[in-house]
Amino acid sequence: MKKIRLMILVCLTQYSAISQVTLNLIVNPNPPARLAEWSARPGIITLIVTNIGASKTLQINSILSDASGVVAAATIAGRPRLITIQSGITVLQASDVVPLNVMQFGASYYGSFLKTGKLPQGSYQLCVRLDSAGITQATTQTQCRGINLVGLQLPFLLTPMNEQVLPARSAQNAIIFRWSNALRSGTDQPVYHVEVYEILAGQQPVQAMRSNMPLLNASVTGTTQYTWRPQLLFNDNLVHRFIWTIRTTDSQGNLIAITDGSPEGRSEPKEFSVESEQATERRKIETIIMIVAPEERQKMEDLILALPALEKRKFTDLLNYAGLSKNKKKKYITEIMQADPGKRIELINKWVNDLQPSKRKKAELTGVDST
Amino acid sequence: MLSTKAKVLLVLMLWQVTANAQDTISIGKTAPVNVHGGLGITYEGYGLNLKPAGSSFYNARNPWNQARLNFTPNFQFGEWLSVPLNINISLTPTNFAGPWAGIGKGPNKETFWQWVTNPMNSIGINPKYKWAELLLGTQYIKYSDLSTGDVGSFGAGVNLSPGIFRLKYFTGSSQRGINYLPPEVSGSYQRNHWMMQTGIEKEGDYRFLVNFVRGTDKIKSVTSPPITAQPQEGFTYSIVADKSFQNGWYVKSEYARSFFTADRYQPLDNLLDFHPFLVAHTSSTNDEATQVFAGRRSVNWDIGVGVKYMGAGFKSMSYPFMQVDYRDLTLNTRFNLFHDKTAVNSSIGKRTNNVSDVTILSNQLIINITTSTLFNEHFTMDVNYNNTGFQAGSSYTIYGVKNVSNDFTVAPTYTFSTAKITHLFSLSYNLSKYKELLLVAPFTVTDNITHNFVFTYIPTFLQKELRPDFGIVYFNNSSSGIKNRLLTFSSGLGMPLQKGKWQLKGQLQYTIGKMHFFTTNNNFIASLQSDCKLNNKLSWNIFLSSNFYKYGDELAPPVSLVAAHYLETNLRTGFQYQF
Repeated sequence: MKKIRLMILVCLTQYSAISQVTLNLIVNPNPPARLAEWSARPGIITLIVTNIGASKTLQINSILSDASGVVAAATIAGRPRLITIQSGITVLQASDVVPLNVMQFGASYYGSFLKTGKLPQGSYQLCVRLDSAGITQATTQTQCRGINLVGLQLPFLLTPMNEQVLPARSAQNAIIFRWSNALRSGTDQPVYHVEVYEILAGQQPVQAMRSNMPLLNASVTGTTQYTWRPQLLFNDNLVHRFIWTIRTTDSQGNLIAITDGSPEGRSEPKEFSVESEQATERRKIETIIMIVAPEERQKMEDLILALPALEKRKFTDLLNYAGLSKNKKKKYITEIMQADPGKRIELINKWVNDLQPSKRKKAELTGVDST
Repeated sequence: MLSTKAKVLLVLMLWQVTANAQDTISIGKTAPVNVHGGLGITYEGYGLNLKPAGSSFYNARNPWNQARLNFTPNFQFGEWLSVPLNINISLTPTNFAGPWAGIGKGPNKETFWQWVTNPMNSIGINPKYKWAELLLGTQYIKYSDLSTGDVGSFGAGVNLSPGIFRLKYFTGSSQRGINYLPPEVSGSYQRNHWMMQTGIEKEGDYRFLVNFVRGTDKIKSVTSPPITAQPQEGFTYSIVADKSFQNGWYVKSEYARSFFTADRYQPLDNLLDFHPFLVAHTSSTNDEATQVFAGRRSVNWDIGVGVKYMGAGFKSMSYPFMQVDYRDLTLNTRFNLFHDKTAVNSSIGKRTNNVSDVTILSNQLIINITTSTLFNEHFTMDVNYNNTGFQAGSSYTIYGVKNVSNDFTVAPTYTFSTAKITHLFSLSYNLSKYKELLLVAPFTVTDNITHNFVFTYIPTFLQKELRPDFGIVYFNNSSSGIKNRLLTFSSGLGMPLQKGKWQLKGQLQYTIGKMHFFTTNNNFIASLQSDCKLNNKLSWNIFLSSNFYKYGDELAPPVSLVAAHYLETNLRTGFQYQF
């Protein structure tokens, strides 16, 4: 009998104690889709606990359910997160309210969370209450708020396409960049920062993006196209290589997600190059001299440059022709290097004639780049 | 005694080594000790004058002063031992994107190790003896498309390729710890990597390789942690299987799985078990990616099909910008028609984004067809059609969108020759339509139409070395009633002097631009390029350019910016010594 009286007394005490605690749950209705990011950023979930009684230890009970009421994630009953609530106001953040390491996911949601760290897109409701940590079931009132979960999809770069070669004459006038819309939650218009970097000789594409000043850094809102006037001259014998990307921010210039998407909010960059007729010829010569041993390359280059214009074109097209085997190319190079200078033109014309008529015309007039 | 299998293996290895050694051809005799390579030093100067002075309507796009050094000798000892050195360094840090942005400026001094791992600089040495190669210093290592490739690391490693066997290992640091120093330096954690590849490979025949790649951010590498970057950790393994068959058929495939922690500050997750790859946190994910390409290549026709799947949680630490959560289907083909007079290249690709359902499903379609027709010895014509589409439906908080781009280009070229001169006339017309649609009310449609005409004339003097060229470009873009028109005249003159030892090239371009109802803007660009061979080994290059741009009244208000203009100048000069 004494025990029962004691139990009733404890229950009444706890009920009395917990009734002195009130909750105010504030959530960002469009939080980042990656659940772990809620804890990394302040202000995503805030629980204000007002305690007009004495300090007490309580456990958090959180349930995240989908639009049809199915539980997507909930704190595990046997592994409570205990919080000591001091007298007065205590402010708790997402790391306490939605502690992912003590939450259990519904069977249909666990796969998505394990693979992506996110839940399927949709509307959810987060409900939170505090339970007494003792043996009784006394609880505070439950606070619920609705949230929309939508993963971030950074823009995909559309044009210029990866490794596209643009003709020098039109590219030095204007280049049009196009990309897909960023898909994300929220009504704020994303700001697209179009960045173009030149890839210098000896640089890898991403290395150039990490090293160089951008030739273009323009901010665009409300559309997914930008016309760039490079104000650069490309009509020389160089292949001008560039890498471009889009950095997406909100209207304040802040990253729209930290751990969702690529670092720095940058889309996967793409390369493009600008090439003139002379640069195409230069590239073909480079392809040929790379077949030769390094110490012979200068000699080979001088030999090609010394050829008359027509034979130079025939020879470079021939050696860049995809239908010609590597061994045949080596044979031609060896023969021309060993030949008397006066015989070289004759040799080139003979080799071109050796090809089938249709292939010969192609090698003469169009040339197919074997690279 | 060696077993038969071992003998066969030994013969195979020796044959492979010999084949590798014959990758380039050498005409002369090879000296026992040979040093070849290059040494170059370049200076770049940039100037920008704005009128009205002190305005910010145009930003500098190059460093005011920059000097670069490249030194790439290759010491060849006999037939088998080579020691190539690669040194590329820059005097002034100019990093803009990434964690190095802002360091080296003002109080943000760059430490020695930050300088060494700064991607502006590359210092590496790769001694190679037969099939064994040592990798020291900065290395950009690509094992495969899904494991490692984009990131350069400073460290040490080895590549062993006896015969068909491959064993590669490298460990290093791709970035050093950089403290967060607002407002310019966003900071970064030190990122250490190791990567390994093992398997068998026969060039041009088959590859079966397994890759392991790990990257870890060191939390204690900074005293002032970055606020927009979390310490991450990732492990990826991938299996590459390629095979080429006779008659040109081929199959290329790769499967990869990643274990990734987006934020190591998050608590450990006892419910996830990623051992032995990773200690799981609540921010850890585990997903896969795969790609398969198959087809046939031949002289007259090619065909190829490809499938690529990138899981939403797939992440390789060595491809930091890789976008995921999509499935690609592609078909490429090349064939000839009309007795090989017409070559056709075409591709069609469909991408489905968000296959994981964590955001809106979106679709992309890319169609590209290019034909090159040789009508006769004088007349050729290229025609290209490209369609790119992107569509995403509406959701709770996303407005559905549809972007469609259609490009059509026709480019005839006519060439004819006399005894002294070859004339090349080329005309290119491009019609580009780009439509952006909002798929919910108010169903906004933005139409963007561009016409681009390019006319080029290039005479080639067969008995003279002058190479002039002339071009006219007309560009007309209209979007939502706003027109942007450009008319450009350009010309160039190439001129070899001193029997080709000195190449001069000058270019001029003048553009009149008119945007909507604003007054015209004018742009004049001139450049001069000189490549002079001082002797057989030493060359001196100079590039000078000047870009003058005068706005109409498009920047106003304020009134002070009516007819604002700027003059941008570039000087680049350098010596290159080839030995």
